[in-house]
Amino acid sequence: MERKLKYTKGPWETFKTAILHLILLMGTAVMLLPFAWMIFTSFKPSEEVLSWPPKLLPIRWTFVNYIGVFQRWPFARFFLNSLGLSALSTFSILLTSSLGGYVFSKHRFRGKELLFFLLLATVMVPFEVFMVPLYLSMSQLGMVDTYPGIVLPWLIMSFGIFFMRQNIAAIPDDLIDAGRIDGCSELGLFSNVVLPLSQSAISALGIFAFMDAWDAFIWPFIITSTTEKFVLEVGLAMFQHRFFVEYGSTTAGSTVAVLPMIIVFLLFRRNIIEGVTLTGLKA
Amino acid sequence: MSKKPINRARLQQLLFCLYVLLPILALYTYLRFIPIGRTLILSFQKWNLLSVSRPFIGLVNYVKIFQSPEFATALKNTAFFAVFTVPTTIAISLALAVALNSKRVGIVPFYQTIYFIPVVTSMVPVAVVWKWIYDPTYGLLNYLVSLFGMHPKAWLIDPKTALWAISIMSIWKVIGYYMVIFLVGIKNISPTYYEAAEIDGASGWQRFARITLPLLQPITLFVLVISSIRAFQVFTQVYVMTEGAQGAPGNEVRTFVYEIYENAFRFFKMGYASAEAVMLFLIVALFTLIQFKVVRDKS
Amino acid sequence: MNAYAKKLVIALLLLALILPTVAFAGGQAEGKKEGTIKYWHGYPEYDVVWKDIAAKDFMAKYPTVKVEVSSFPLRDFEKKLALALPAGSGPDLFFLSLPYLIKYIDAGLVDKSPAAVMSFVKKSFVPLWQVRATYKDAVWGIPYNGELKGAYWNVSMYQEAGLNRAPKNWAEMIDFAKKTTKYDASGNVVRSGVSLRLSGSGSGIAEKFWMWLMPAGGTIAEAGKQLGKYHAGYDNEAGRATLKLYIDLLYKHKVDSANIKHDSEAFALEQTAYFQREAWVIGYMKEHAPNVKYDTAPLPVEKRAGGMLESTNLNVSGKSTIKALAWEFALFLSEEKYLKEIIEKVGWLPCRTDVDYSDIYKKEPRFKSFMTIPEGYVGEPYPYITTSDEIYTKLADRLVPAYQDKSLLDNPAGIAKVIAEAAKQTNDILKEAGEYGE
Repeated sequence: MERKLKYTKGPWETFKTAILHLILLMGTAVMLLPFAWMIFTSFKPSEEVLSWPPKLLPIRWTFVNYIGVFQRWPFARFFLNSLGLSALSTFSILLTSSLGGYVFSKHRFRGKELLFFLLLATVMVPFEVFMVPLYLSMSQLGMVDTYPGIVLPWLIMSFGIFFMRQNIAAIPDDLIDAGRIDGCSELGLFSNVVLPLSQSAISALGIFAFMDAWDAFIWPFIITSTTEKFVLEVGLAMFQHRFFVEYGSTTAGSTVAVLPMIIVFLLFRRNIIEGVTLTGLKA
Repeated sequence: MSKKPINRARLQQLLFCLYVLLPILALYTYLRFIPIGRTLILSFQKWNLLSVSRPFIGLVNYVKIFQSPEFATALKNTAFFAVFTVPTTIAISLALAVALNSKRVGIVPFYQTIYFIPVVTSMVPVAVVWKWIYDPTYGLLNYLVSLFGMHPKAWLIDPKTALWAISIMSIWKVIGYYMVIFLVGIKNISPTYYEAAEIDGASGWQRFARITLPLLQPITLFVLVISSIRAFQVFTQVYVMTEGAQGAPGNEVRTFVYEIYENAFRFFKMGYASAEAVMLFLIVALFTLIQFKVVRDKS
Repeated sequence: MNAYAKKLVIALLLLALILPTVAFAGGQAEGKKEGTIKYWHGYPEYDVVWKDIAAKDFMAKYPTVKVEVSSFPLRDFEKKLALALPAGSGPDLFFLSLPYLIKYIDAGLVDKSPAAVMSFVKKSFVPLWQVRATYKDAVWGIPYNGELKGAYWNVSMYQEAGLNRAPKNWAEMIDFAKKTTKYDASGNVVRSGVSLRLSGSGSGIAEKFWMWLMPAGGTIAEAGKQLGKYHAGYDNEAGRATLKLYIDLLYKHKVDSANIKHDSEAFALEQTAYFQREAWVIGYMKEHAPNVKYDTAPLPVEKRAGGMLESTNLNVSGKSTIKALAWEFALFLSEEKYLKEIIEKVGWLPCRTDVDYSDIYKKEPRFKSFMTIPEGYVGEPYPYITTSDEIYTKLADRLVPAYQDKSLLDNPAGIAKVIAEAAKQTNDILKEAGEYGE
């Protein structure tokens, strides 16, 4: 039975939409301010970086900061390192979280609740605390200053397993049970039913996992010594001196660093919003 | 109904769980359980990161925690921070998600991206701009406030307002993140519910309260738990806003992880910091359990 | 999963697998040669001399040796060192001040300097600098960069007020500050006559307090009779006078305020006429505010001429397998050529005193205030204890609210109470760590 949803646009509706837009637009200015400052400052020469009251736009636009950032450090290398770390981490987290989320939401076994809580509990201890024992054990295994050493802690994410569990729980049990009765294997159920229906969640998790790895600082910092293995965040920190920050260089580097994250967001945003919903699937 | 088919199916399911969980647990064990376990052991020792000897001192660290005024300040501030930012963040990001849940090409994606930008903006420009917003003389906030006839304030330096100031900046930075999560949740709600409600003549608000909210429960629980855990672990914002000559007073705004960090890496009191981390864990675990119970029972 | 997502996943996976392999392969090619010196430091700005010039020269001199200079952001450098050195994954040579080296010495992670280094230190540095590498009657490392604290004053603002030199003592400093402060219509300070450090986090506030405390005759942690034992050195006339100075400057003479910018940024933006700092501000001003007319001067004398004096030293790790080679590189870095390059390119001043720096003074006379040690100058090093950071941080935590407490104006009892309580906490911290001594 088809019924087109009529959206009557009376004067009250239009007014409400106008108010909404007004609020959203005001919010936009606040949301964008630091970002705008970051981009504009990256084009300012050093004499203009410090101005009071602060000026948003440069008087004299220059690329000097960008050139400097790439010349003083192997910035392109840092970028690739971050890209590799984030891509591998995202893949691993998506895999483990979606499978784990499926197991925890659509299966029964003894100790499930306890195990889930244990996994979640690991998030409750700040990383900076347990990274010391982790560093020491990795050092004993000779993984200091190696790429595997950098990426290892980022292969799993409790947040991810929790998130996928909540989202997969929304899939009706009947669908899963029907599949099982039909003799579908668990893996088959996973790839043909769970995954397509979880596209939104997977896309969102992809963004978050990528971001988390992209922003990583303290672990890559303590585990690597050779400059060539630094990730972006560590490279950016080199412009923060003991008593002052080189704002020109830091903002130029940050602008370059933020681009992939925005691209990842834009790419996956559509998948989040336009993910497949239940009614689009043949029963 | 013979027993065999059921057993085989059940076995297959259990095997699947095993195959999935084994590698995950292996990773967790090496990367999380063992280091966290070592931290627990450290909390009963005295260690400065360097010496080979790590004398066992029993509960001394824990006793010191209960006597420490800095710890009390950190506890108070973190609790305030959590209580203020978590409900506010959830409310605003949910409202944003509902408002921006539309396939209308052009406008909505624009807003979604804009509101996500603070999430990806790095901390250095964020700190600079917000320190300017809060500046006592030329700050944006004081300018706006003066338009309403109020007195300008040193928002970041005055201990009474410093924590509020940092909290608002933190909320600003994360609402885009939770907006995305809520959007995913809303997306999972079948339009047939809304269609039926439309037919029944339900208003926008009723649709929200009777359909959206209840069906979003798993996601809302998720956002509640995760944002609470993160609120208890707030660190970077406090660290950057107290840095430098124009920063907020470090002692007044200290939070749990700031306190742990200071003890571990400034004072090299690794045992004491580990004990504080254990305390943080217990508090957060308790809080999370309560949240799970409460939200579950409501349904 | 739709086709698009599948492709994306495969692409990501390939990218993730290829990159590390390529990178790792690249790393492998460099390999582990005999005689690779790993030098770590926390000042990336130095690489332009150490890495680009000195290391290259050294490798040209000894073709079978490789030098890897790695710099790290300073704020986390000590963390990295603290984790890496005991684990054996650290550097051969590293750049660290003696007070921070003490805990490594006590943990047996650093050895005494060899004879050649000891004689170099005795020969090329005045006793004031020698002390900064001496602990328990042995030399540990080579003093490298260090300087006096000094004052910066804005020449244009001073001339406007009819002044043509920096203040020589506190009375003059107060007087000059009053003459160079500017107020707005409501009486708020918009340009401070002297810029104090009033807020923020960490030890900086205590250190700036210490900078004023020294000329007043006091210090924060005073050395006791036994080596390595200290006690609070500010629960006295000097400590009370310094806090009184801050309170008076803020509320009696009203020459500074918590509501304006402070420190180097304020000086660059011409929001203050005078402040005290180290020599790096000269390079900072050249970059960010080249048009400001300013000069430097020694710290004003009150009860004595004095200030903190610390050096950052070159040290060799006890776990290094090529100690002799590392020391040779350290001596190489201490050569006149590189010390002068660092002054010019980085703006940090050398400790080495048997070098003629007059050509540097000709190029930038303002460095003089930071390099000439007057007769009878009391230069105090940071204390040789593990608890200094804790002491300064906790003192700062008490000073910040004290600075905002108007009731301390003309209130000697109130000031005495604040100082006494802070000093008690300092002593408690020392006692708890076993570092207390009369």
